[in-house]
Amino acid sequence: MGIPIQQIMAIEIADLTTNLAAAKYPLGTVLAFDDGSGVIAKYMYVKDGAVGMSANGVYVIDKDYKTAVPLTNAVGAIFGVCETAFTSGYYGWVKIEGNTLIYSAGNTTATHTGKMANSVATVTDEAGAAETAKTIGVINTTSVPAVNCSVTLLNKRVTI
Amino acid sequence: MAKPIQLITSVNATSYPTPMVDAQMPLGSELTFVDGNGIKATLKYVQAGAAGMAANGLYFIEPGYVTSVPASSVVPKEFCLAEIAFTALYYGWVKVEGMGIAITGAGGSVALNTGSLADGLTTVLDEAAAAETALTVCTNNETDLAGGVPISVTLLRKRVTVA
Repeated sequence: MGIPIQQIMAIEIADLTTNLAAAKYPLGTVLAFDDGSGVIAKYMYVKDGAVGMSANGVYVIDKDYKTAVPLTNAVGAIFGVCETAFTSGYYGWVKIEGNTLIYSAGNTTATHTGKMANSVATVTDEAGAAETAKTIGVINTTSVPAVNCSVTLLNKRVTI
Repeated sequence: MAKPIQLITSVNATSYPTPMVDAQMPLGSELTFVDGNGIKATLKYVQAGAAGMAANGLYFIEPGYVTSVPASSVVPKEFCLAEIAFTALYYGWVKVEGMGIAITGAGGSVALNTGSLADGLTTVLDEAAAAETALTVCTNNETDLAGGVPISVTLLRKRVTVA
């Protein structure tokens, strides 16, 4: 007789926007679902790296699934967007693929790619549509000045 | 009570992998299953670029999940194998991991050698050795000395550069 080995996990919908002092799910768990945007939505369960995270900020995720403000990095890091603010050291979900909002570092143009920059949690317009080693996603909002702009995250390792 | 929100979807086996003019599910969706080859198969839901895709062709997956013909790139790129032809801008499943059929480029292939992408082509280029490189997209499973022949390959799940 076959033995099913895939784990079907149920989570509270509210947990996507709630962070807690104690872990509720295994760190590194990835959740994929249809959020109605036409692009797959993926979240990863992480721990805030003791600095707190701002809503609509983009952060790097280290090998222990702890988040940090992006710093210059030539190795290639994974990243996630904090859709609601995290308390320092708390556990919760960050978005790693799909459509989300990130505060921009300056003006943005729709269809351009976006990257992270040293020491800030914002997205910077790469001034073109070509993917680079730094690209975290495609910008969907044209705006002057900086705003929370729509970005389609790529879910890849990037340099900073 | 906890509410499950993970997408549990079924793909119609009789219609898979026919590309459609309208998206049937979110772009970037992935489907992993056992296809009987002893190696995990992973498919990804994408949109064909303006040039469409040829059956058994290898393509880039660009940001936004749109495919394109491979081109020289020092930026590691996501790639896929179109197992059937796609009309331009149609939506459907491409293979990103596991065994599939690709067309050999000039020089053919040797079984167990690795294969890479080539600038401007959708064929698999034999790397003349079995060692994995930054360019490697697959292991070639068949020897073909002629070139332009469909061979079995095993795709690796990674991003690659193209010479």
